[in-house]
Parts: sequence; C-alpha cells; structure tokens
Amino acid sequence: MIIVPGALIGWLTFPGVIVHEAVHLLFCRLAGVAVPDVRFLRCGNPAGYVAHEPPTCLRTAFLITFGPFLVNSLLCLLICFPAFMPIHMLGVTLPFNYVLLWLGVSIGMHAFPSGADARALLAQARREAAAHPLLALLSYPWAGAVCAANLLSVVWLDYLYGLGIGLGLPALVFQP
Amino acid sequence: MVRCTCGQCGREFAMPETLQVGDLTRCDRCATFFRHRPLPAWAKLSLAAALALVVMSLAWNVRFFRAYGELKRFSRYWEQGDIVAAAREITLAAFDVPESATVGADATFVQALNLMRRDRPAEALAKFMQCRGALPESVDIDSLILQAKSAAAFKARNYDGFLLAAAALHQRQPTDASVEVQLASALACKYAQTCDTKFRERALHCLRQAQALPGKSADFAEYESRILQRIESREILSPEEFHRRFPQGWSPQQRKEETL
Repeated sequence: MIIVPGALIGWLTFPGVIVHEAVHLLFCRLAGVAVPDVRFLRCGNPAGYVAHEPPTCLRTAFLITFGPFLVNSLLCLLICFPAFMPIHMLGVTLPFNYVLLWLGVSIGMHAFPSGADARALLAQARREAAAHPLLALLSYPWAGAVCAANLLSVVWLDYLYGLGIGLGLPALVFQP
Repeated sequence: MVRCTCGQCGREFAMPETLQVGDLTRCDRCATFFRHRPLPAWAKLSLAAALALVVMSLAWNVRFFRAYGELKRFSRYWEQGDIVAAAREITLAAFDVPESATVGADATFVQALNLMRRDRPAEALAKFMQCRGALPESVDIDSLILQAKSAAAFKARNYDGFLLAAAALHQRQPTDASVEVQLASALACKYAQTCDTKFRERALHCLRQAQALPGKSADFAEYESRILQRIESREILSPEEFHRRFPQGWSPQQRKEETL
C-alpha cells in the first residue's frame, strides 16, 4: 500500500533523482572510483543509481557518501529559502515560486545516499579506524544515520527530510 | 601476465593482474573509461540548471527580502511611535511588493496617520477611504474617517460639516474625553459663527463632561483653553494663530484683563 504512492512521489520528484545521481557520479569521478553502470532515471526501485566499484579508502567512501547528500541538501535550501519566504511572510503566491519549491523540495527529498554506500563506508571505517580515527569517528554516526534513514524510508523519512529542509527550516527562520 | 577477456567490450587482453570492476573483468581502456565516466550532456545541463535555479530563486525574490527588511524596520519604528519613519518603511515595502493587498492597505493606513499628524486631514481622509475594508476589524477605521472628516471640515471653515462629523464620532465613542472635547470645539465654532447661545451652552456642557471623563490626553488643557477663548471672543483661531497670540496660553482671567 505504501510502495505505490511512494513510487508515485519518486516520479513526481524526478528532478531530485537526476541531480542526486549526477552529483554521485561527479563525486565518483572526483575520487577516481570506476562507475560501470549509471542510470539517472528509470522505472522501478530505485528510481536511479550509480553502480561503482567499492571505494578503496575511507576518505573516498566518505566523500562519495556525504558529497551528494550535502550538495542536494544545499541546493534544496538555497532554492527553497527565497521561494518560500514571500508565500510564508507576505502571502504573495507567484506560480514561479511554487515551481521553485517543487524543484527544491524534490532535490532535498533525494539527498540521502543508498544503504549500500553507507554499508561500504561502515566497512571502510572499521578497516581504517586506526589510521584515520577522526574521519572514522565521523563516519560511524553518519553511516548509521544513512542506514536508519534508508530503513525509515518506508515511512517516507527521505521525503519528510526534503519537506523539512525546503519548507520547515525557512518557516522556522522567518517568523512573522 | 594473465590473458583475459574484457567483460565490457569483449576484447582479449593481457594484464599483470586482472582488474575487477563490479563483477566483471575489464580491459584497461574500459577501466579508464569507467574511472572517468563522463557525465552525459543532458545531465551536465541538469546540474547547470540546478545551479541556475539557485541564482534565479535569489534574483527573482530579492525584492521580497528587501520588503521583509523594510517591514521589520516598520514594526520597530511603529512600536517606538515614530510614525514618520514607519510610514517611510512601509511605503517602500508596498512599492517592493505591489502584489500584497495587505501590505498595500497597511501602507495607505500608516500614510494616512502620518498625514493626520502633519495636519493634512483632507489628504488623510482620502487615504483612509482608500484602505477602508482592507484592514483588520480591530482597526476602527470608521472613527478615524470621522476624525479626518471633522479636522478637514474645520480647516475648510465648514463648521456644519465639523459639527456633523464630531457628533457622529461622539455617537460612536461617547465616553472618550478627546471626542467629547472635539464635539465641544465644533459647538463652539457654531456659536462663534451664529451667536446662538444654544451652541454655547452645549459646548460648555460637553467641556464639563470631558473634564469628568478619564483618560484625558496631555494637550487636553490647551485644547480646552482654545475652546473657552473661542466662546469668549467668538473668534475662531487656528491652533497656530492661537499659539502666536497666546504663547503663554489663555484663561478667562486673561480675557478680563484684555477688556480692561
């Protein structure tokens, strides 16, 4: 029952899927990780993916897991903040701002990396905990959070995150 | 050296070690391609569009941010009682956000209040009429309209209009000392104009009523002395002229001295 509307929301927010996979691919290139297969958008679950070789070091694993999340979240924030303010504070409802909000929230909704990436990061963190203790210390909670978010995506946590970043945060910042 | 077949392109090749990418063995050429897999042009365009959206979102909405700042400053000035600065800020906000009927109505309202303070009641009246119906119910716009009407009528030496507006206002706010004294002022004008003692008696009665009411403003005593001077001399002076002639104020005692 949940999967059908979830997939529908996935399709309605397709710009976020494309941006996430494009940024994921960019970070893989940046880290020199081979990407044998990539789908920016497709029918099915997941709506897009970047199949890459396992990262060879913790820094790379962290970069390709955290990078797309950071970029998607920032894009969502920067697009939604200015578009949400006139609606929330001034009651001005311009259609273009709704388009911006849709795009911003869509990008925010697909910020979370996959569970496979998080597990790879966790494995790498265990391996290199002694060599890079600080990065490993950051990686554990981050990978844990990603795993939890992936589990909770059945109750649309990823979508709620996009709404929270795109609409909730500006609403908190801009108080009448 | 190991001879193997590339799982991607099918080419046979020799390598010191097989290179596993994913589940398949790749030749060097394919592995290099995968390590530097280019972004398709449309995906690059999508990313560029996402960045362009950030710029567009900021540029498109910059006037709303300006208006937000102006409204914040307006609130601060309004709380401080600085109507002139408050009117300036909300006028700028209304200019920046012409789509907002609320901001527009608020701006017109504050401009009207500012005009009232600058003793330009006729212009204020037009502004009050303009924003009537667009303000929250907590704003008693009808009373303000009557105040502007009475002040505009006094300035135009239309004492019938002055009395009419003051009486209507008195009906709305019978326990307000400033409204009571305004009615006294209008009746005193009518007495000065017609010499009908009925107006004189009613004016003095209103003054006594106003004195008994609580919440009198700081300039009540001065307004009262202007009305008494008007009744005594039957001469209607503007506030400026009154101050020029009686810089120390006026009292019935002074009138006796003047006649002597």
